Amino acid sequence: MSFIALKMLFGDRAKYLGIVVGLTFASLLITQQSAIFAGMMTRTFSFLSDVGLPDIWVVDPQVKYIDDIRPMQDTEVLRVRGVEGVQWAVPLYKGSLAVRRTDGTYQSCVVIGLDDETLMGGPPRMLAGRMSDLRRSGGVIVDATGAAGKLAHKMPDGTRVPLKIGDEMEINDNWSVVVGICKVTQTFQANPVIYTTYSSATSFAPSQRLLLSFVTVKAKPGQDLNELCRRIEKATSRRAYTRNQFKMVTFLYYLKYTGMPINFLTAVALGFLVGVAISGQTFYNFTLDNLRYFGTLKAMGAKNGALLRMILLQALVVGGIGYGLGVGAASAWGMLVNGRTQLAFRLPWHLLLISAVAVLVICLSSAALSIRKVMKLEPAVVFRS
Amino acid sequence: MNAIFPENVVETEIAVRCSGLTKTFGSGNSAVKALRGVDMEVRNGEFLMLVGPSGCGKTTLISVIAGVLRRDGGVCSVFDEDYNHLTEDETTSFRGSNIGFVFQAFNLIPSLTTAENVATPLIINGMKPRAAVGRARDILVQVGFDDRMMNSLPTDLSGGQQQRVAIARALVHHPRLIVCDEPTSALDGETGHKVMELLRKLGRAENRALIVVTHDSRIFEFADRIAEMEDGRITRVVDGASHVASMNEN
Repeated sequence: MSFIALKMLFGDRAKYLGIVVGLTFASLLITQQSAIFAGMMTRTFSFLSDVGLPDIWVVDPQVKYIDDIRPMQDTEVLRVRGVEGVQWAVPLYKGSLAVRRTDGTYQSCVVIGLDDETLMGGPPRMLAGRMSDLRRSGGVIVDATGAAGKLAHKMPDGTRVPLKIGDEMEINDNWSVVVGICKVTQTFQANPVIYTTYSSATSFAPSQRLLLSFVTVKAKPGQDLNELCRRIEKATSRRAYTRNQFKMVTFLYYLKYTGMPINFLTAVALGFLVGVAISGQTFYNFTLDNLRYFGTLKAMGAKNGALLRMILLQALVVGGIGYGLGVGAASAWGMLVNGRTQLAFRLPWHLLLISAVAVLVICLSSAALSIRKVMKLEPAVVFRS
Repeated sequence: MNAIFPENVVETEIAVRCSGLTKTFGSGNSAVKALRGVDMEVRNGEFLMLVGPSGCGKTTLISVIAGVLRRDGGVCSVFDEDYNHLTEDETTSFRGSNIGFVFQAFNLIPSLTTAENVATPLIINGMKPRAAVGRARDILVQVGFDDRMMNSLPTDLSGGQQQRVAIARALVHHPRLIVCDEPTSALDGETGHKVMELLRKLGRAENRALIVVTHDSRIFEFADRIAEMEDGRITRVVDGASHVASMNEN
């Protein structure tokens, strides 16, 4: 019966294409919007992803997410180092400082201050220069996207020349020199990222009593990280998160306190509804058009179970094709924009699964209407002209 | 009912036996009594025509006999099986194995080729499509189709050709009973005549019973017996030849 089902499906080319186009569009919209959402949410904790070495992040208890900086005393580093199970603990500065461009305008930048001795927490990939050059007076490493974009020299003819090693700039009215170009994961705010040493960063920053943003901790081998977090919290009265916990805290903050989920959910729901409306309606019409033939098959001995399997097969085949095309188009679009534009796009297998389930629901709900119609069909309909 | 069996009909076992058959559509004031106590027998190898004016209950009667419609009352057995004693699935299986259908509007699936349409009953009965289409091609040769026509879609065929395909489809799985609903009403006189010749030749082979519903008097001559229906009852049963003779006299 599968043979007949597929021939019936592919035979009505107009309706077949209509259903597939509807499902492709739904799958594309659901996958693409979800992937953009996932990409943007990933950017919220991109700094945590880039700083891969520490196991634990110690922060002020009031901190709600990674960009919510509540400075602590520098002595916290020493207190953390004293906790049993800590292999090393280093200070990390993170702040938003104004950088003066060559044309006199200012650009807000994320400035990361690394431990002067170890330079722990540096950029994941250097494109030019060396990390150790940060120890030169006023030395900074700028991320490539920022160097070629927001921090680039604006020429009189309007063209932009990327920052390069040796270029000078002012960070919060302090002189600095570019000693390296690095590659980082784009941040949520899409501001340029500048790395320097902890001592330089705190000298660039406005004068204030407390400047330490984080204490990053490496646990000794074999340590239970959750247990170590509890010991650090007990010893310092600060909050200690494992990297994944801190990512989740940040993710949940953006999820809860921004309108992003609603916006994207609306777009995904729209894709779903479009799929149901176009594909569901067309599939139902396709079944109605073939009702006489389903009746004929029924009269000739096809049982309800066989007809049900025929309709399900038809629904699953168009679903599979529509899903494949939609996901393929979304992936192609993602590959096209990723790296070339500022747009975030991340397509983990979970999203492919969610999209598949959504398309499956569209197909099954469309098929359910058709199945109901065919199951209730009296085979005697075949004798009506 | 007076059962008249012509000499050329081999009197073997009864294929269809109906007694006091009733069927009502709707209820209350809008109820329509389509069958009001039909008594009828059809023997194996017999070609019976059901004739009568529109709305007299012919199609309802063959629907009940073919097991596509449940009766309200009376008795109806086909090859000694009473549909009321079978489940829905058993009835469907019984139809698939024992009954061939020829419809007024042909009901050929437009996206299947001629051979694939003919193969449909075999596929329904579990045969692999390739083998079924092979068997279908054999029977299509018998109804005068060549390779090109076998690979055509129904829309590329004339009405007469489509009805020949429908006949081949009704015969391909060697059913014991064939029911035809107005098989010539969509055809011109000459084509209808050819279709009936084919139906009689192939349909009655294998000691098969044939029931044809029609109001096309031009094809009465093909019947062994003609059962006249009126207002939900069979009013008269005559042999085909004498019915035609009396028509000619009138």
